[in-house]
Amino acid sequence: MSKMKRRQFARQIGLGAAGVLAGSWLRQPGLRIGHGSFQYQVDLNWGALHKGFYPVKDAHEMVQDSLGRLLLLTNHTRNNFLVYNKDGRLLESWGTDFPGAHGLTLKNEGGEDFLYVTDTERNAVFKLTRAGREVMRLEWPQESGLYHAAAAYKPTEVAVADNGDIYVADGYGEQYILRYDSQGRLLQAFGGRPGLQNAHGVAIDTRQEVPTLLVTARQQQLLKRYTMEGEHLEDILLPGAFICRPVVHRSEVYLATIWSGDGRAGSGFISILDASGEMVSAPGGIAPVYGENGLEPMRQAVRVFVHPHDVCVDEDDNLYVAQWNAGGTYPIKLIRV
Amino acid sequence: MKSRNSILCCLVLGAAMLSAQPPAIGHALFQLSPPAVNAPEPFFEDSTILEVLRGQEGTLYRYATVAEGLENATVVKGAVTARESGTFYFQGFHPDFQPSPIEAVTITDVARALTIRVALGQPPSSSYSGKGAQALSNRARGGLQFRTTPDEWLGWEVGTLRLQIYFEGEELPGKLMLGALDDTAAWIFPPKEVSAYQGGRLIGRWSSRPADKGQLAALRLLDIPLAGATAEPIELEVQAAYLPDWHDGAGQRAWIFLDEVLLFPND
Repeated sequence: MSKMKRRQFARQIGLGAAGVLAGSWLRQPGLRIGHGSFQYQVDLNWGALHKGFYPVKDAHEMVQDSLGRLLLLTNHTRNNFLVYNKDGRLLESWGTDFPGAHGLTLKNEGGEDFLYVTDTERNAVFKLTRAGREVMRLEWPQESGLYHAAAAYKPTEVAVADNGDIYVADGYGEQYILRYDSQGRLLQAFGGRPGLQNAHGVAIDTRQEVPTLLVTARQQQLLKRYTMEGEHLEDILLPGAFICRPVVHRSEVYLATIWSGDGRAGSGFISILDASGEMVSAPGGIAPVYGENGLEPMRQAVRVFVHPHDVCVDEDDNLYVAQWNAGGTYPIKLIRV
Repeated sequence: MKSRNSILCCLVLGAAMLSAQPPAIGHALFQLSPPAVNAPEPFFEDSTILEVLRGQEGTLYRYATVAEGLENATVVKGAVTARESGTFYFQGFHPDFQPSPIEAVTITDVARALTIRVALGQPPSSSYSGKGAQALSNRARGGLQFRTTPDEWLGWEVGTLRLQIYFEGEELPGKLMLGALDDTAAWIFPPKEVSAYQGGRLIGRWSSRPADKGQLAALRLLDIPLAGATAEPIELEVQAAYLPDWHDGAGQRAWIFLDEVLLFPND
C-alpha cells in the first residue's frame, strides 16, 4: 500500500470507528471551558489518527512552523513527528531516532526553521532542519564539571535567543539551565537544586524591551524569571498548578498544567497568565481567584484533560494541547470563542 | 479513532447502560473532577472536620458513609464534622456534566493508639527516604502527590520489606494499620501481602485485591487484625505487588510507599 493510500485508509478507518462508536455524541455542541476573555470550545476530533498506523506513546510537545503547519513530537520511534495542517489533517510523519523525545522548540534562523529536540534517554539535544536532518548535537555538559555521567543529564526543553544563545533546561536531571552559544559552546550553567526543582520548561519572554528567561519549576509550582545571564529576578507563585513549559504568545503566557491540586494523576488543565503574571483563565480548571495570599490553590474542575504537557497557540489564538501518559491520544484543540 | 474518545465513549455508554435516563445532551460527555476534600487532621483524637473545596461552578456535592446511592445522599453545606473513625464518600453532581468520581476520605481516631517506634529492615530508596523511620510513627499522612510531601513518604523498590515495631504501655495490641500509597500511574501499588509476626508466630495477615485499570490514586490504610499478640515487638513482612497485565510495566515489581504505622490495643 502506498504511503498516501495508507494515510487515506487510516483516516477512513479512524473516522469510521469514531462514527460507529461515538454516534452523534461527538458531534454535539462542544463544551466551552476557560474564564473571562479566554474561553474555548473543545474539539476532541482534531488530529485523530489510527493508532495502528500512527502510534503515539506520549504526545510531548507541539510547535507551529513558518508554513503554518503544526508539528507534534512523540516518543514513539515509529513516528517521532506527526505534522498536521490547522484542520487536523496529517501531512507527514517521520522520525525514528528519539526514544526519549521530550522537548520541541522551533526557531527561525535567517529565514529557515530549525527544530531543537531534547531526548531524555539519549541524554542530548539535537538541532534538526525542518526536514529532520541533524545539523548540531549538544551532548551532556561534561565540561561544566557539574555532571559525573551522561545519565545524569536529562534535558527537557530548549529556548533559543535572537542572538543565537541556546538555553537548555535539565528538568529531569540535575536541574541546571545550561547556556550555550550558537555554535554549541557552553557559556554558563545556573539554577540547580534546591532553588530549581523539576526545571521542566524554559522560554524567552520578549514582551518587554529587555528579554528575560522564564523557567518552570514544576515541582515547586512556580514560574521563575531570570535575566538572560542567569540572575534570578522573580518567582510567580502558582499553587496547585504543576506547570510544564511557558509559551509566550501576544501578551500572555500559556502553560500546560500536567497535575493540579494535590498532584494526583489525571488532574491537568491549562493555565493562562496575563502580562502581570496573574492567572486569568484556567481551561479545564476552577476559576482562578486571588485573595490576600495571592492565587488560591488551583485544581481541575472538569475532566477534559488527563496530563497536558504542552500548549501550542496558533495565529488565531486557538490552542493545541499535547498530553503525556494519556492513552497514546492525539492533541486536543481548543477553539478560541 | 482516538483512544481518548474511546474512553469517553465507554464512560458515556457505561453510564447510559446503568441509568434509566440517556445521558444529557450538551456537555454530558464530560465528567466532573473528583471533589477536592480537605481533611487537615485525618488522624484525630476528639473530632475532625472535612470540607469540600470549590469546584466547577454550579456543582452540588453530597456525602455519605457508604459508597452507594450518593445521588440521594446528604448535601454538603459547610464543613462536615466527624467524631468517629470511618470513611466518608463524596461525589459532585451538575446538570451539565457526568457525576464526578467518588472521593473517599478515611479518618481515624487515634486517641487509643499505642506509642510506637518503627525500625526499618531495609533502607528506603535514596530518592524517597522522607525523614526516615520517624515518618512512620509521627501520626501525619503523606499527600496523594508523594513529591509534594516528601518528608512523609518512604519508598522501596524491593520484593520483601521488613519492619520491626516496638510499642510501649501495658495494653496488648489488637490491630495494626499501615498507611500506603496507591498510585498505579506512578508504579506505586499497595503491598500484595502484609504479614505480622511475633517471635516467628503469625498473628495477622492482610492481602490486597487486584488493582483496577484507571483507578484514581488513593491513600490506603490497611487494616490488619492481630490475634493473640503478646508484649513482644512485632515484625512486619511486606510483600511488593507486581504490575498487572493492563499496566504499561506489566510484570515488573511495583514500588511500596508507606507513610504511617498505627497500633491499637484490644478493645
